[in-house]
Amino acid sequence: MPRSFPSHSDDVGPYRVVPADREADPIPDALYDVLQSPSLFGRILLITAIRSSAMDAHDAVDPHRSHTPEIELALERLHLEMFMSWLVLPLQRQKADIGIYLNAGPAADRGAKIQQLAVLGERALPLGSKRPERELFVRGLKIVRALLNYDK
Amino acid sequence: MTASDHTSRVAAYERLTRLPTFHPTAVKLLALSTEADSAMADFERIFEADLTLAADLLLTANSAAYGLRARVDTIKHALTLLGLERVRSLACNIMWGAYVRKQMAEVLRPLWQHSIATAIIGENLGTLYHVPGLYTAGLLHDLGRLGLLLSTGERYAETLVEETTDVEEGIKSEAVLCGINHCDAGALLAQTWGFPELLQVVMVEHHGHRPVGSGSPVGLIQVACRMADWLGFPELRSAPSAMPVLPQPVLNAPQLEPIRLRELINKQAAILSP
Repeated sequence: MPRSFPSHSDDVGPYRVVPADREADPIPDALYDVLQSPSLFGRILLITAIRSSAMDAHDAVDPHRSHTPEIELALERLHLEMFMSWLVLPLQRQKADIGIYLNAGPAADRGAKIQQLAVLGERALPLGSKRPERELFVRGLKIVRALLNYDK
Repeated sequence: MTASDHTSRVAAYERLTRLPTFHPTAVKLLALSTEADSAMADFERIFEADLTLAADLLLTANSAAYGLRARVDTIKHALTLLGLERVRSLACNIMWGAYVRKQMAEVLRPLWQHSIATAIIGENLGTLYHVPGLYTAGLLHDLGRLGLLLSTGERYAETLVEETTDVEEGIKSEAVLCGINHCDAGALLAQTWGFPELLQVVMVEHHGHRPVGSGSPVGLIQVACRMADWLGFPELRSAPSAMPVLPQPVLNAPQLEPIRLRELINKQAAILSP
């Protein structure tokens, strides 16, 4: 069955990914989780985690967990695209998307995750982003945190 | 999403962050808690460091619009007589007026009146529901419109003077025109300038419909904003709006009687007009 890749025309909805021949697939399995996450913010965090884990593996000279340069480049581009898609969203839609991300995890973690939003966001900044983009991203998350605090 | 959507929102953010910072004394006052034991001394210290503001505050407090029976001669006296929250809101009012005065006053007059109206109604709703701080929240809830005007100039000024029938449509058009809507613009400015969280939330959500419940400050400002439109102080030029759906306690409250509110709003808007 063919796999359909995201078109990026839908900036929040989940990507439709149909796993094909996984054994022959050079893209790490974890990427399937990224593309299927219903929240764009969740996808940004997941792709950050994949990239940073691969980076650690590369530093530790662990060829099983590090990516080829081609895969790393593709992940970098995808990370940046998702990040830019996020920046376009009005704050109310960012809040709604983060609501989806929070609801996907255990309810007990919700409060702590809300308080850590900006910190999580700072760790998820793509290297290729520009200073005002990074500022806008983190400021937006601080405002979303305030919005969620006032929902309690 | 298109690349140009992304570019224009980031560019709008950059323009906003280049605006001169709102009065530093206002930011300090907004950050103070009125509940702290040292609150009175903290307030006095801030006014001691800004004598122009202290003088303006005494002048305004003694004006006919405030209708005080006793003359206020010192900041300490003002704090005792008016209370910390009222002094803070009055100071914000003066500073907001001064900030607006430097800009296109004619274009901003309806917005200024709407802000004063929302502040006064918000304060009265706050008294009814025992929620402090709503005068300031009402006064600053449309900060984003001022931000867009200052950062994009004539382009946005035309939007402010055009007659509109639908605020939601207006919000979408300003995002196309300026790269960002006024709700987000205000919240980003408030975040950049270190305003309290309540003000940031009010700026994003003032067109929403949160339940007022037992006194949600955001819900009360939303009601105040709609009431201001209905009483004839709309944020944009528009046909008179229908009476909003109001909670029963609001309908029964004598201090929220429309004639009384209009009179109060007109008085304050006149004396503090930019």
